[in-house]
Amino acid sequence: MKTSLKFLIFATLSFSLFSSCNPAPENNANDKLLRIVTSFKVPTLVPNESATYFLIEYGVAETPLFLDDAANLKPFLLESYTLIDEKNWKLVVRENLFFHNGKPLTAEKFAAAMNFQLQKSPATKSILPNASVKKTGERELVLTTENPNPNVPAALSDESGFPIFDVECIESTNGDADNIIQNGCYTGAYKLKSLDDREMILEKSLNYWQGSPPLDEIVVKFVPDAQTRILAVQSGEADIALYPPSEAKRILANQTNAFFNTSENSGGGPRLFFNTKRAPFNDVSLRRAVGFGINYQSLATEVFDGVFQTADGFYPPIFKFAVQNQKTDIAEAKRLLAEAGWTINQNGIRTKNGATLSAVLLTYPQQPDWVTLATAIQANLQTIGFDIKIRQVEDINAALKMDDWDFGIISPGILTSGGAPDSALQEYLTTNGEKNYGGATDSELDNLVETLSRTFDAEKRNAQLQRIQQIVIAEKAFEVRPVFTRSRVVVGKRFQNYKPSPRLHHITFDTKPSE
Amino acid sequence: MNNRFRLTKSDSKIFLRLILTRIGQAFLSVFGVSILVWALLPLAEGDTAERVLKARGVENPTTLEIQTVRDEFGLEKPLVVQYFNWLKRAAHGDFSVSYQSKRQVLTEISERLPATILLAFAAFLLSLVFSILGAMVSATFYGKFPDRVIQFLTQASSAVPSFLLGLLILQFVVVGYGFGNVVSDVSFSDAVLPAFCLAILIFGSWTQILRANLLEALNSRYALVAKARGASNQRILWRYALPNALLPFLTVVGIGIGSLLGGAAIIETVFSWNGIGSYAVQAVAARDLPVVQGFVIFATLIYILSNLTVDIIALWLDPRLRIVTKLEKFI
Repeated sequence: MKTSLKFLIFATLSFSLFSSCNPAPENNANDKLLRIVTSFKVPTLVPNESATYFLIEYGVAETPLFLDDAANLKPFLLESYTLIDEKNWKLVVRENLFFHNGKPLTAEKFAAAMNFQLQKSPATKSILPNASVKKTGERELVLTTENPNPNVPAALSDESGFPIFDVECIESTNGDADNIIQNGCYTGAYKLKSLDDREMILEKSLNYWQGSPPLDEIVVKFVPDAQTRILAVQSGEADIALYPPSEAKRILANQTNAFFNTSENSGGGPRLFFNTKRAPFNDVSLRRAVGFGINYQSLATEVFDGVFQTADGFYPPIFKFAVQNQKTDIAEAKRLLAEAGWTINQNGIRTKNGATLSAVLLTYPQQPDWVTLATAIQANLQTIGFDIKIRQVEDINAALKMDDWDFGIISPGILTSGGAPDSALQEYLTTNGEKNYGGATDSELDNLVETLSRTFDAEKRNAQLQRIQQIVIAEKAFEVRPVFTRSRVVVGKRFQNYKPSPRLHHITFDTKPSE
Repeated sequence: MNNRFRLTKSDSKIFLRLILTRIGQAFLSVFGVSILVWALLPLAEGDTAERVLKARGVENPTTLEIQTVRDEFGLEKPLVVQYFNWLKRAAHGDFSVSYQSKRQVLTEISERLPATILLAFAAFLLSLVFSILGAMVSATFYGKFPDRVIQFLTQASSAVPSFLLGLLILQFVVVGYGFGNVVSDVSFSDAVLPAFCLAILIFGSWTQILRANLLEALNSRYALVAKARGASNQRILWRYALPNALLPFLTVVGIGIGSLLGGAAIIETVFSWNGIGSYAVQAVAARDLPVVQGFVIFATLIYILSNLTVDIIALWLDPRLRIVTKLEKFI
């Protein structure tokens, strides 16, 4: 027994030593290879299910139009689009388009893909209910909507709405992922080679309409732990780590093997909105005081170390209709509170008729940045005399439906992925809005949002949107935008110049290694 | 076979009774766990359909999307009906489909099981070697410098959090020296670092327990008699003390195997090891409740089975336990 135990010990230790000495992958990996690590798996390849935007983000599928990183809506698989009348749009399909299986993407197939989505995808049905598409010429289609809808162009660039695919190809696969991969049903610069729950491999499409993509192969590994993803870049096993925590910027500040990059622009940010149905925020002065009492610059540049952009209004400044009407003004915040009868006590907290100026701020742990944000806002508002209590909840949407909160931080966008503001305004800020958790109510705002939904003229829409922002932020202060978020990545030397997209288009035709 | 391992007719009856009792207890435990685990679904805060959509990456679902999911999961039926439907399906191994992947939970767990078994096996071997070696050295040099060093190491291994140890190993061993991979493929070579990490975490408790057993055995009367008959210290340690000390150690090892197979969740996550532990962590993060339910039931079964197996082996190896069980029958 003595001999065999000693042998076992020796064998195990030797095995450990030798097998650990696996050389790390070469840093100067193949120039045509891109290795990404991300937290999110690709759950489905079926276009009418909820998460096909993953395919668009990795350059596998494409939409008729494309909202670029500077918020410009551009033709993509469509060559052009024109308004015929309030319910009909003429769409012209680009020439020389092919699916990954080599079959041409004709106007007929284009219409079939759009109608498939309009009939079978819950997301698409919500964006354009009861719409339909007909082929009217060799490359021409007409899209007809149920009601006048100025947001059709935005809908045509919506990632969840209109990925274009070969309907026959998809239907022949019965939703089986392997069959979808083999049959090549999409149109993007990169086509699927394999997918399992550990990784997705893409290869360049040989018949892509913009030319030959610069990368031969893209390997996307699904790594749930954020620290592990960063270490994978540091060790040379990956070129790009998606979704790093914001504190990684500080950690990587002096590193030479990994770099923290953010997008130039912001596509939006969290919403801090008030429960106007009960005290204290049924008083507009107090809501406005909160708006003036938050130090937006400090949040973006100090608390989040420049990872985020200073919020100066309801919409990020890249949108043409954005108004810069949100600013820090501590003196004005104090004046508003004093005018409303709230006086400072010896603890620095304001009181009125024996009541303390306190409020419950909701946040949720699934978004760790918002917990940090809530803490910073708590500190900001303490300086003007608020006693803020932070409450973390498991399900923020469920908690907001209750009435035991005063203000809350949530993530939902203020724009669709195609850049349309109408539906978010209607849902969250109109009196009868489905998600108007805070009870915001203003007849002028209701009318403006209703008018906006029927207005096609861009200039008139901009004017309406500017007035809406004036009401929401400056006059009625239904919401505050604490920060504008930026997309962020950790990159290795080969992709040191890679800039993440604010729309999370991780891979485009232009993605290539740094010079 | 040694006589002490041979079972008499009366022993066989005790064996059978013990196994049947334990199986009955196991059924009760699983039933209790099933109620608690199923209750996660209706008791969790918020709307189940919205949670499903969130797990699928839809942050802002429309009413139509929510209704589609309600129909898909039968969420509008009464809770009792939902529970018994779930129990019936679970008894057939059907834990429904993952909210995220829409695949059968059992299929997902089965696919990851080989990876967890590989890691558990490697970690088990390393832990066994480290702890036996550590305990033997410690007992041999009791109170001296090697004993103190091992005592310090065992306490340190029990105190260090698993994620910290994993990240330190990745940072200094993999990134620093280029040994191994950060993102593991499920292979023997990639199993070494996470297995080593797991072994270090188990090493502390296993070594402490075996060391205490060894010291007790070395101070026993039979060790004194062996010494009086001229046996060397090494012979007493290997021939007499170790076999006797291993019996109580077996119970601890059994529970350890249960926890390893149940999924070394944090280590698997840190090392991107595609086992059931990391799968469970991802499911918890995404609130993918069918997966959490399937995992908890699976882990419960593993614990119960490993404890049952250890009890039976201990009873077979140690005749004194059979006597105790016989006496219990008359009390």
